[in-house]
Amino acid sequence: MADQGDNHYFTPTLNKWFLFSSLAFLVTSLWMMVADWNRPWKDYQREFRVRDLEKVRATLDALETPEARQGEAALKTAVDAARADVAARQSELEKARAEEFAVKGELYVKDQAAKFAKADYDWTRYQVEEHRRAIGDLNAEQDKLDKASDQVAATALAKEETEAKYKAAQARTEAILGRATAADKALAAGTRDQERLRKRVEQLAPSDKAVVLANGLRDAPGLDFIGPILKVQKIVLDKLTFELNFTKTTRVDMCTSCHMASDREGWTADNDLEPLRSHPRLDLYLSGNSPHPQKDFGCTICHRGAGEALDFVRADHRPSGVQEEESWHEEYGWHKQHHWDYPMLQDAFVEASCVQCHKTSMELIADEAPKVTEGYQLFEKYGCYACHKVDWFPTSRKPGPSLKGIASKVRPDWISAWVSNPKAFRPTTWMPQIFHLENFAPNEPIAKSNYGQGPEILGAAWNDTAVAAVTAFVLSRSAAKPLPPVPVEGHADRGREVFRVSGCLACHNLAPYPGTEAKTEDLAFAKEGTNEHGPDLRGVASKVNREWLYAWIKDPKSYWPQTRMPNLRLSDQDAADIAAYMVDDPDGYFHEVPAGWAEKASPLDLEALREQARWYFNKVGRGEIERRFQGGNPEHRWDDVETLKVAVGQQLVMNQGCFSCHEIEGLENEMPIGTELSNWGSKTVDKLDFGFAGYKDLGGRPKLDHEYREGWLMRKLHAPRSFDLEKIKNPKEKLRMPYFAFTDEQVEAIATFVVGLVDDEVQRARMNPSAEEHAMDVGLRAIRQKNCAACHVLEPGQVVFRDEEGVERTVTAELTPLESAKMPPTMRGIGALETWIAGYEKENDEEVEEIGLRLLAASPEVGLPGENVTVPRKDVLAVLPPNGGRFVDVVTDYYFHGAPRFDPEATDPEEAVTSVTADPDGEGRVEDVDGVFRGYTEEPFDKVRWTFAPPVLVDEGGKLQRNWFFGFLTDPVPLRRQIRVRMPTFHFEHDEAGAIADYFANASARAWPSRYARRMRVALGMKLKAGHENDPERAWPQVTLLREQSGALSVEEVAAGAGIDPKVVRGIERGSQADIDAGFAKLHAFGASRGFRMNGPVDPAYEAVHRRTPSHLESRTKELAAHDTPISLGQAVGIRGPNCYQCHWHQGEPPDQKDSPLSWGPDLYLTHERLREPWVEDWLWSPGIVYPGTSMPGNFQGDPPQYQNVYPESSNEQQIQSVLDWLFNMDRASPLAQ
Amino acid sequence: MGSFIKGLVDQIAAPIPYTVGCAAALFLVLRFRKLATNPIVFGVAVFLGTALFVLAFPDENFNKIVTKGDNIPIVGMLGGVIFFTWLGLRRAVINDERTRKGEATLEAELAKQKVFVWPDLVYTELICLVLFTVLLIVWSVGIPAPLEEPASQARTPNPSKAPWYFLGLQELLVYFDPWIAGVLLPSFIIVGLMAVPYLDKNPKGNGYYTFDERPFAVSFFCTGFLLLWVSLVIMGTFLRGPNWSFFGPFEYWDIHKLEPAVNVNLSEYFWISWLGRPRPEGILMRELPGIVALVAWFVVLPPLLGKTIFKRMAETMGPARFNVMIHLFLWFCLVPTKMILRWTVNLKYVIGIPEFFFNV
Repeated sequence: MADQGDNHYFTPTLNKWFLFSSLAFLVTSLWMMVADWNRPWKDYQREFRVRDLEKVRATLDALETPEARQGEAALKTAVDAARADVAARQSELEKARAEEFAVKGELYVKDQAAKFAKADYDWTRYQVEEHRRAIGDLNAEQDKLDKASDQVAATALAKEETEAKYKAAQARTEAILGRATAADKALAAGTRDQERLRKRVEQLAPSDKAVVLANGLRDAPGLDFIGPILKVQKIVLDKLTFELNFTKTTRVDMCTSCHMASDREGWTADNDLEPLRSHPRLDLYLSGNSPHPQKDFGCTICHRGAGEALDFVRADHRPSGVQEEESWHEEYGWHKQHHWDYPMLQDAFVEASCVQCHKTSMELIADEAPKVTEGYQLFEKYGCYACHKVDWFPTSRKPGPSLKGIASKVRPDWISAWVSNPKAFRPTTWMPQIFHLENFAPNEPIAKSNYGQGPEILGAAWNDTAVAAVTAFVLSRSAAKPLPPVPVEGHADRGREVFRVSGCLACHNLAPYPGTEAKTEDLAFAKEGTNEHGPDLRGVASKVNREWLYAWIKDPKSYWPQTRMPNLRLSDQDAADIAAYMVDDPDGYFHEVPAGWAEKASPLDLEALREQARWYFNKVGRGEIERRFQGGNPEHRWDDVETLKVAVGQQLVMNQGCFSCHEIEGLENEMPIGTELSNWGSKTVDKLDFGFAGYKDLGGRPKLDHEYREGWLMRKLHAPRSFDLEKIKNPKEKLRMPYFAFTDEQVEAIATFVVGLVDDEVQRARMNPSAEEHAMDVGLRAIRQKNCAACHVLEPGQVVFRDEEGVERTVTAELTPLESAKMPPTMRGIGALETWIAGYEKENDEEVEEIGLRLLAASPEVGLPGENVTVPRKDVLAVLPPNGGRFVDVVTDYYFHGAPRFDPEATDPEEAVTSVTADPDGEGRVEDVDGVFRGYTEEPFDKVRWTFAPPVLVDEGGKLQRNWFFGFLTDPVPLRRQIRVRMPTFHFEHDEAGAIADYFANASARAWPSRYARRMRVALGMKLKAGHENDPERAWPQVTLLREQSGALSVEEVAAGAGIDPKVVRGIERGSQADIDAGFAKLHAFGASRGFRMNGPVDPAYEAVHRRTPSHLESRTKELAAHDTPISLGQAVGIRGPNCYQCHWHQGEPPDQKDSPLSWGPDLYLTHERLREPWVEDWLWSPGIVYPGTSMPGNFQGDPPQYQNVYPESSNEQQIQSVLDWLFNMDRASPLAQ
Repeated sequence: MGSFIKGLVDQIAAPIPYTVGCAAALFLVLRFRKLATNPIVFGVAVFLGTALFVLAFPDENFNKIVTKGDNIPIVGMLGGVIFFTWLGLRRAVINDERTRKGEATLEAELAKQKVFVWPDLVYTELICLVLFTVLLIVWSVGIPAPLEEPASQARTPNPSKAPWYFLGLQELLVYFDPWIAGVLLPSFIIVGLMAVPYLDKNPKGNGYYTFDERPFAVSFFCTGFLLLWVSLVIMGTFLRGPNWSFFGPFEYWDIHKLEPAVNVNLSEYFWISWLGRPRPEGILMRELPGIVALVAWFVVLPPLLGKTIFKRMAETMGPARFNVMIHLFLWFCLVPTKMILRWTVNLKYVIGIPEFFFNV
């Protein structure tokens, strides 16, 4: 401390320290400021501005075509000319303006005077009122008041006069300026789009240097708190909340600070990478006219993640896989936000979020969210809900058959073998495997018996014994009702036919076992879709006997009240024949069991059984258990093995939860054993036990990431008990979820659904379906449950082809049979079609060059419904199968070829299959409902199809009255009596039948505008082009007479006529609801004005039948004064004209044409309660347009009209109207005088 | 090799070896303070310590716990504690040496010199202020605030940890009822610290470092601060994981780790194990052994100690101050005593009256 002078520290050194620390302070302060200013999202916003500028410029360039420039220049010239014109009259203008100015001044003075007078009057009135009240004289100072009032009147008048003068002056000025103003407006209107874009360009890249500088300053560090251009974007979602445990707060998403382009169109090029990319489904999400606009839904309610975070890592982005995770880690230092409970959902699971709002409309979103709806349906099919409660799930039906009568159905050994491994008997069953699973591995010691004194019990013995015990228990709870013998003798050959045509194959198939070949292809009918609705019937007769089968087919509900199997109302003979066919099994389907299946009792190990008793009855106490074993307790004689088996079996059934799916006597009220899943998706990950299995690479499945719940869930679904791996647990504690053998896709779908079961954050934004939507949702679900689509076409198929001009066309159509074939080619995909054609070519030795299709819906550029189109085979690009109706093929095939009979003994595979019918003469005839044998092999496909196959249900809601439809569903009446397929009697839950009827009605109402628009465009085009503008009749959809006139109106023509945007017309034709709302009224008005008529849309509610009202009949009677009553006139036209009774049944009477059921029509007597009037009217005009291919002829299309002998001088229209009067009042008609 | 050492360290870090080791280390440092404060020895120790830290750093579990946003400053402060303990002790050793030689202490040397408020005090304070602000800025920009999930009554974080400076107290919750660990003991700490000037009138050691002149006071303070406060803070911060289970520095924080916790009350030991009979129904009778033990601790021990170990102290301090001091001291001793009893004989409570939420 030598030279420090008086001070302890040397001041210059301190100065240096001070300098250094101050500099450090400065540097760190700047660092802080820059770190705060330079946030990653700003880079994206800068980039967005640059790219946006490019895009806007490109759009602008595209707009500024030479023509557009010319147009703009012309408009500008006009403006210049107008201005020059004005300039020429400059002195005049100036004078006018001066005058206007002077008058304006005068008006101002007068206006002020009026205002003052008014104020003065108010003040005077107040004073007078007060004065009068004070002195008690109600008439005092009246003159003062009058004077003020006069003043008001006088000034107001003066103001009015001046106002008139001013307007006149203005008009004079305007007259001079007029042309210039108009030209300016025209310019603005002509260049609106360009101007908008130019303004945007100016905004993004200002040309003014001062603005550039100012913008720079706005974003400068330290100044950017004032009014920056780059700023955090917030979407404040008032209706959505965010759970903060103590409270729910408004959800705020700041994702768009980086994802600037998410709700904009046009950011979809390959180089538009996230975050600057459009949302892939702007039609559904984010855009203003989508159902989920960004301002109301934000981002995180669907994607999850941290919405208020502003950098990549903190937002809790989620990599799609290991590879992406690694690259993110390198690029962004990405890691899971450990403390954030709502990580972003992987793309694979994003549909999960639909569930939170769409609980009551899951069926309606099936097209847009296929994965989660598949998960929902699988969740139902496999009965997950039976063990795992989901508070809103729409059903609580037990998914498995009742076991209350199992003893009369199958043998005990069969039960044992089945419970051991259901898939060994039926590989496609949805009954899961419960025993012999990985946490009870065969060689794993499960327990050391007798409290550690006895031998070790291994998994194999434990499970075998458990199965034996369960079997004993289940049988002990089953009433062994002896089944009555089958009352009539069954015939297997006839049974084959009944089995085939009455509808069994619609829900069941006979798919070959894995690893074996199909014996006949069509009974297996490819193992997919509607015929997987019920169990696969292969091998079923090895399980159940004839009496049980007969009783089941006759009335399934008597055995299992909740079964989905409907009652086909078969006659005793038919049922007995089917039972005989299945049990006698001439074709070898029903006794064939898979290799390895053996119906045998599960071996019982007494030591294991006793050990199970010790575990499951441990509460009884050690001594008591041993006493029971010795037979010391008369109520529990466990020295008897059978008694012990039943007692232990009950415990096992309770433990494994068999009663969740099956009704078991005495266990009806047990609580399900699974975890409630109502909000599983919100369960935090730390509540999941990953055990040791999560660390392992199990069976090729990767290790689990302990931060995410989806992996856990999927592992659970794949290997439900794997989390017990290497855990030391006693047998009662071990995991119990059974093994379903789900495929990877099924697991992902179910996981998506379950992840979507979350605590709601959307109460206020919950989708509340309208009554209509609700009915459609319930209806769709019921349609799926009842498997309507197996027999009925719900949506026709589509064909995509390239037309002569090379334009790709998608039409709703069906393929027509090729030259040498009865049946049309398959529509199950283009590949299947090619295979089919190749087979056809080989068989018939001919080359197929062209394919015929028949349009089923108007396709303006191609044609009207019913029109046939031929397309070169190479130009057919795709075929999309119809939704539903696959059973139609089985029926038509049968009528043409009979049922395939299989000879199990045959050596030559070609000869093993022959087609037979029940014809006793062996002539290939088919037995009709009247018991007569007839041959149909020579009949055309259309006739057979429309006569014998289940009807198509396209526009069914527009056709049927709701009440009748409802009644028919709940109690079907014979309608098309020739059809042998039975409309079954279903067991409907709740309001399902009504919902089905409502669904069809609403679906028709929804589809009507687009059908109208498309049909109008062709029909009107044909009419106008054929020169029939003024002929009202030809405006009807029937344009048969004009078929030779091709050519629809173009979209532009229609749009111009209706005064709407062509885009809207296209939208309406496509069925877009937004476009229908926007323009359909105008389009309809246009169609009506040009004389196009098409009835509808239906009112989804019940419609009163207008033609039955007294007022209608009265006015018709007046109208038809010259004739008979309207009803009898219609009756005369109907019967003496085309003779409806020729083909139609009436009041239960067969039609005149009795000799062949081909083209028998439904009972006409039902019309007034069954059909909707508008539909019948359309139908009478042109049946071929309503149902292309139908046998119903177009009777009222004559030119000149037919049947004028019955109804003199009538038009087609008049004839139809009178027939309608009759049809809807048939019950009131008196017999027709001959 | 590496995993063997890690395993060994994890073993050593278990509560008993850890606490006993810390106590032994403190004892050895104080006992052999001359050697321990030798700069070379200290330098080598610091080097070895740092080297071990660096070697351990790549270990995933170790790294995770020491680089946790909350824990980085604690690691830094531990260095501070070690350095200042060394500095104080070193100066004490030098002073004691000088006193023995009859020289003035270092501080007395320095006190001869007069300094000015400016620049010696204010200027240096200013510089320190600026530098400290720099440190805070660097810290806050460099290590963002370690935010956790939104708070929830239904789902508390696991482990739920107090602020780092209270982790010593939180550790006491393992051994004591909350009202003792959370209310009584902290109050005694505060009251005791406030009472120090009145209890301790010994002028020795005022204004200079010394050990020899104040062996009891310095050892007592070091035990209290370093052993019962700092070492428990370290334990709470780095070694306590989910469910407040103990984890070695290289051990994975497995949420499923179980620790046996079958603790037994003194009354159960007395009545059931020793006398082989059920515990009496009456609470007083049942808890009699505990009450006797506690009364003995606080009533019998003070005079006994005053007559024996603390004889000289009792004489110099006088009865009033000695009694206050000895009671505070006994409360202080209760903590390690209870800890040792827990570890050795699984003692849960000396007096356990859950009926009135009164447990000691």
